[in-house]
Amino acid sequence: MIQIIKKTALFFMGLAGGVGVAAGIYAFIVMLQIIQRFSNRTGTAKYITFYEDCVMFGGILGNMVSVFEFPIPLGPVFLCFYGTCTGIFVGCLAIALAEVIDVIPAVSRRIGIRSGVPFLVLCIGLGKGIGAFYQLVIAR
Amino acid sequence: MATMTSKILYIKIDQNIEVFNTRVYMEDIAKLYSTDKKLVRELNHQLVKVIKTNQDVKYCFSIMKVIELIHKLHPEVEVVNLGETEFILSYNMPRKPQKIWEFVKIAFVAMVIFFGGALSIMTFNADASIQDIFDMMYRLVMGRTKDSWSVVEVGYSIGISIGIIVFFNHFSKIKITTDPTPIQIEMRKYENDINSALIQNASREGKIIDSDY
Repeated sequence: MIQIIKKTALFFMGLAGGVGVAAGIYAFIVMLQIIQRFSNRTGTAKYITFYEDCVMFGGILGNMVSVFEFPIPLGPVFLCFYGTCTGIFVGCLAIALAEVIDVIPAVSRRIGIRSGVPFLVLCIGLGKGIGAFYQLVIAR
Repeated sequence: MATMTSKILYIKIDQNIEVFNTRVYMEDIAKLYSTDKKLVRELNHQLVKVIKTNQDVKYCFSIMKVIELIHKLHPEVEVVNLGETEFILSYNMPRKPQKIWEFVKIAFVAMVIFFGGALSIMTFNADASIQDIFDMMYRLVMGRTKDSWSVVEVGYSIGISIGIIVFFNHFSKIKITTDPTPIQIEMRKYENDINSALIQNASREGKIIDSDY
């Protein structure tokens, strides 16, 4: 009997934790306007509820994989595809984060750059790419 | 009656107007209302702009230009603006819907945000060492260590699902309340930001189509 009460308590602890964590993380993703950007750039804004479904299922399944660690035997092609997709997402996340705190406008104003912002953006992109490659491939 | 009372014409224009024809009429851009129905009908069929380009283009208009146009035809009308003072006219080339290309784009975005959403939860779990916390909680509550997953993880996974669905306010087609979803709200904010940036840029470069005086 006491076992069941304890297990129920544990279950609800997990449940409450999950609700809080999920709302927090997704509020963050929505605030950074990543999905809005993707749908705006590709001109598919009317499918936004479908995109919301995708990010929801992604979160639910991703969490199950990381908590229960069940195997996903889909081979190297899937890994390559997975890497590309997550890379694009994290790239957008990182730049969106920098944009939210106005890094690029602030820096270009301080230094007094009037033109060449596209070049600046290209450099940030290349820098991030090379940095990630160095950290994950060369320096391991 | 010798004196002529001036008629009031109410006008309302949205911030962003999309047109697909090169000949833009008043009824394409503005909502007009007046007690004089004939006047409204006449003004609705008034040509506002002829777009001479064969690519997508955006123009920034000032309401002054529209008022000027109305006054050229009917100087006695008093115009009351109830909408924006500056608005964007976006001309989109009529093009054949490319079903396959659109499908590819949607599939691409869907995949990126699916795996991206999965990755953000997984990085959070790893970052916060959620597994260690669950191990500790299990030890504290049950008084022994667990060897594989337990009820905490099950509860957490269900909680994640509930949290996400409550946050996004819908599950596929089933909506929880009639409010728009958070991304729909943010999408509108994003579009408003783009519109106001476009108007401010045009204003800075003096490219707003304004009255001639």
